[in-house]
Amino acid sequence: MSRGKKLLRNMIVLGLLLYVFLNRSSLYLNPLSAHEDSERSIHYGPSEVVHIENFEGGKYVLGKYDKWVSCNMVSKVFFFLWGFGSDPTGFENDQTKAVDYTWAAINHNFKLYGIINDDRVKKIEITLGNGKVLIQTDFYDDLFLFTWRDTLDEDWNFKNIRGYDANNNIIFEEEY
Amino acid sequence: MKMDKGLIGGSTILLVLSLLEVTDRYGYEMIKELDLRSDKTFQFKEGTLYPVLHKLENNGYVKSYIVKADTGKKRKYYQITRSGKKQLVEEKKKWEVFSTSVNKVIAGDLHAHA
Amino acid sequence: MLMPKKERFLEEVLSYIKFPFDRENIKTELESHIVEKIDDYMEQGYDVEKAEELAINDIGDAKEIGMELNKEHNALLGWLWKITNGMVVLFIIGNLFFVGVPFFITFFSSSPINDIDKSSIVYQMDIDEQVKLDNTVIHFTNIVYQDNGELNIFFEHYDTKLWGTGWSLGTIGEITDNLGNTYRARSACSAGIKTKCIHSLDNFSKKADTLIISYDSYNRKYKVEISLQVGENDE
Repeated sequence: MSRGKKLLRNMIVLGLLLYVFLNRSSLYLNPLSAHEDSERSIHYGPSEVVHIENFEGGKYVLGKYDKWVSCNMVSKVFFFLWGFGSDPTGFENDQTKAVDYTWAAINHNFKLYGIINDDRVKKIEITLGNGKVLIQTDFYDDLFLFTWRDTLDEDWNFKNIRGYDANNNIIFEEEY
Repeated sequence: MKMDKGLIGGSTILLVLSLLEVTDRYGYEMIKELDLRSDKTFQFKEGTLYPVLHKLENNGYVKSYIVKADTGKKRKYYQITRSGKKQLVEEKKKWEVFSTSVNKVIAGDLHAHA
Repeated sequence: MLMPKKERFLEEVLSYIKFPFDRENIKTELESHIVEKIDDYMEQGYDVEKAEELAINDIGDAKEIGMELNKEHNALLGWLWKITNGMVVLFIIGNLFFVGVPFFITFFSSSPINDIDKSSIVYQMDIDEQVKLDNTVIHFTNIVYQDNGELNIFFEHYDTKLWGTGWSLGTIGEITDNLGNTYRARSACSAGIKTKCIHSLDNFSKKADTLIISYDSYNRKYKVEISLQVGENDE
């Protein structure tokens, strides 16, 4: 066999092996495929993805599924592959609250996400333990997502959330 | 008679494949056989055979294997492949057309002079 | 026997071959040619030096041959071939690990039912109830009731995409009986493609005649009802 043919054969074999590898290793070429399989495998979803946000080590996938709101995490593996991260399932939206939300911290990566049930809410403001204030006015449909990273010397935990209407009146407030 | 290298250039594939038609041979053996069959007409630089052989191998017309002789010498034998045999038939046809045409031209030339 | 002309010739030819892994073979082939030619000349009566000179003269220009050979031993193609060879080996090893190990575990793991002390069994039932959650098939196979009041549910589960991997099965649902008791299960599972599991319920009611497993989570539902043999001695 000539070298060109051997190379071709190698490429075909590599393609097949890669296919098997990707299927068996739960690694994906595409972050959304990782997200979808992650949900299906934990028997949740499929959620409607409204926003994807990068963070160090992967992506947050913000989505809605029926009455649940989720912010799955997919992690980057070997620079170009994607794998399951954590927290694929969502919280159940309590529609009686003007704003419903949840937050979590995984390896110094903080996320707070939620849903706006009261149309009047035009601005979400959260305050952290160190006094830092994060504000969001552009929502993803009716969902919002805050992400931040902590440092050891300060308190980066979530402390307070407020939802304001267009005239800056507080519609919703909750302390943690 | 010494022949210009360019003249055999076009028919190298035909010559080499013909040499391998019946039996597998190694490079030096092919040179000797060529000398013998052609009565030393084709006096070309022997080393140039190898790029030709390697090209034929790349094209899949021949394949090679190493044989270690009793004397300890390693010889690389070449064997014509099925596609090489097909190619040989093609080359022979081409050669016939070519030589017939050349002959016709020459004959015409002679005729004109006659 | 020192043959400086031959060595110089070979060295020069090889200097044009850019793909290093082919140099040795080319050298061997050309060298054997030259050596045989020298031998032939010596048989004809030439001394070594003269024979070598004639042979090198016959073989031709090292640069021309080297450059022509280099064309046939394309370095880029050569390297790609080498690299893909290495990758094939790597991927095979990787796949042996990712595919082979789970298969191996699957076929060689024994059923957990064998771990139950035979003398403690009050009754044992073979059941055949199958449910599906997305791509996961859960197959309930056996119930074993032990004299210490422990009810063991045996089941296996696998992914219909055989190669599918993912989160391990969290819960099989809420476990209750027909008397309204709810049970917490201690669970143990083997690994592999087809996972064999045992769920053990402590102090299972002797009076209950039906075991109910109901799953209702994120719009997925199933309910399995298993009729139990109520021990005659206990009635």
